[in-house]
Amino acid sequence: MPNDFEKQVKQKMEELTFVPQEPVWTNIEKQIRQKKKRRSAILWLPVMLVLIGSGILLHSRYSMTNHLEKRADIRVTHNQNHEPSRQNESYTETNQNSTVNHSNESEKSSGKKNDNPSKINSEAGRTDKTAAETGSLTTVDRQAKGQKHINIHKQSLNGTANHVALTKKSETINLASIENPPSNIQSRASERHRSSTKLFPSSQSTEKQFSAVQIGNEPLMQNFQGLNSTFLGREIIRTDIAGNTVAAIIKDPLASKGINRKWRKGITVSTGISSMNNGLAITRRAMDFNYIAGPNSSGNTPGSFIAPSNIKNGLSFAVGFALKKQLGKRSFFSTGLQYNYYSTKITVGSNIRRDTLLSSNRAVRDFYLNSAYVTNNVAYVTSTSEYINKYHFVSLPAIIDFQVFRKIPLDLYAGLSYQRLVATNALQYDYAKSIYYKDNTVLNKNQFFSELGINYSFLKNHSLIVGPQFQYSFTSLDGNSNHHLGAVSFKASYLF
Amino acid sequence: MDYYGLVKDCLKGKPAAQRELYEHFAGTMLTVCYRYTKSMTDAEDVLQEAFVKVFLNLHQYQSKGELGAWIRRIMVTTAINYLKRNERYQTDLLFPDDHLHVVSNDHHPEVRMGARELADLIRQLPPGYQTIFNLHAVEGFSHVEIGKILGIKESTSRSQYARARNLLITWIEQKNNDVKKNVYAK
Repeated sequence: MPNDFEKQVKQKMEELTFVPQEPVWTNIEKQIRQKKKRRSAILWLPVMLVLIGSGILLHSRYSMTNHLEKRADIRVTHNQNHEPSRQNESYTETNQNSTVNHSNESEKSSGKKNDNPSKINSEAGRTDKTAAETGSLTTVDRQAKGQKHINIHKQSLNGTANHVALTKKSETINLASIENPPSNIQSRASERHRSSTKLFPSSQSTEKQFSAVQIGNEPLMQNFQGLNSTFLGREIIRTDIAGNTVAAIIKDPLASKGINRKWRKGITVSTGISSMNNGLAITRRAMDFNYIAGPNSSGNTPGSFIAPSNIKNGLSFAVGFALKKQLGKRSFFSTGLQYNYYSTKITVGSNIRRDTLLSSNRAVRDFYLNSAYVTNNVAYVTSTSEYINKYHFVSLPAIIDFQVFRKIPLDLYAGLSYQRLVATNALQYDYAKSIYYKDNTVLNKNQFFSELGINYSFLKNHSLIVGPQFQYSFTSLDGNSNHHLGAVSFKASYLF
Repeated sequence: MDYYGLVKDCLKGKPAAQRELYEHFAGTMLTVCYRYTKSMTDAEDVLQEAFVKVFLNLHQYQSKGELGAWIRRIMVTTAINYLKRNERYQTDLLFPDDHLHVVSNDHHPEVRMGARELADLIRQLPPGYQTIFNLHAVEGFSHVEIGKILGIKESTSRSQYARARNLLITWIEQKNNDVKKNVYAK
């Protein structure tokens, strides 16, 4: 309970009031509007990004060269005792500019073993057969100390060269930075090789054809596998040796983030139930007029007719070829080509083969009676049968998947598919004549479906993907009655 | 006044409703800000910042308590955060854990001065004392709550408050006796 002094203070303070200056409100209003705009932009941002980004990303990724692997060939000079002339040659080339640490410089002439197998000298200037077999190679001019430039150029073996400068920063790369070389390398190197690392200045190497000389009689490729090293801060994930050239595969920073930019191919199947809806309503559209034919035996007085059959759900399935690509860490794009089958069931009466003029003045050669008709106020029921309306589509889906949880392979996906009606046996209903007939010309063959669903991935590399799917056509199947196809199915895909 | 409709209109983003809400509470809330800061400019800065928070978070006001109390709470926390990040106040906001000079809270002098004069007197306290005095004596927070708000011990809050109170009473009595004093203000 506040005492007297505090009470007095509180009362006095409650009496006090000030009037803030007008700019205070102006600033408040301004900030509110700015922050609300930012918030609403943030809310819409993901939606816009998904729609726009998927299109742009697809285009840019597809047209971009795949730089997943960058081979860095570390050119080395080779000292071999049995090739003294070449040895001298190579030193002449490189000595001027290379100042890399040569721990066994003195050992070259004396023929001593090199204890550090990671420092290798190899001769430049001769194309090795092995090199020719390895395909295109990228040469990296490793920078000697004091040099300021690194060029990485990719050279295909047909002689064309693409020069790509990765960095111009000063950086020294030394094979000595390779950590923990396997002991077998050490022993082999010590037995067979002179080791001293030479770096070629960029100006020299860009002019030269790539070449390599085999060290000894055995390629070192397998020896260098598993080495842990870095190049320009990127992990070398694999090294290949073509003769004397160590080609290092540098990990793509995107790949190191777990993003696989390759398209995955696969097959997809789905099976489920399809239905015909009137717009978004699930029930059939109410008839504008719905009363039974009058006493005329034909039952075809103007404005009188019998309601058509209820449209029941039928089987749907799809099978096709799927393509999937990772867009981001947890987002994917899927497309493909599929065959989609939808069906609905109606009850029809007898099939009559007779030339008949429809109410649209179109002639048909055969038709189905309605399951019931009335004449002379008497209702007749014909022999009825179930008729399956079958719709065959070829579809092209475009779907964005999003992995909801980081560690659980559960995706939500949404997208559109363009579906082209290629064949159907669906019956149309002539309300005036109360008969069913076939007329595909009234059907809208180009359909756009929304595709929504969730899926769960199994197996290694998330190869098997299963889950429910919901499809709904935005476009009416026939212009006359506003029928929309929809389907609920279970979908399974297998990606290779 | 029925604030329910006003809040609804503010949530719809109606500028007139927002202006009305602001004008209704601005005067009182500026006083709150004034008591925590050392200048009217700082007080208006705090008021501006706090009202932006009020409007952006109005959807969180669930009509369970007084709207004025809800806004006032935002003012107080905004003021304290302002003091913490403002260089001018930082060194003075230290709350040393000294327990010397146990001060009696039994003395209750008569406060004869006007509200503005008393507010100016409170603002002359060192910012650390000023904050704790405002929180306890004016806002009514307990020392436990003050400890949580400021990140200090309850005992520190008690001792700091006692010092502030003692100092203020001294000044009030001096004022009452028309004794001039040194002003601590920036």
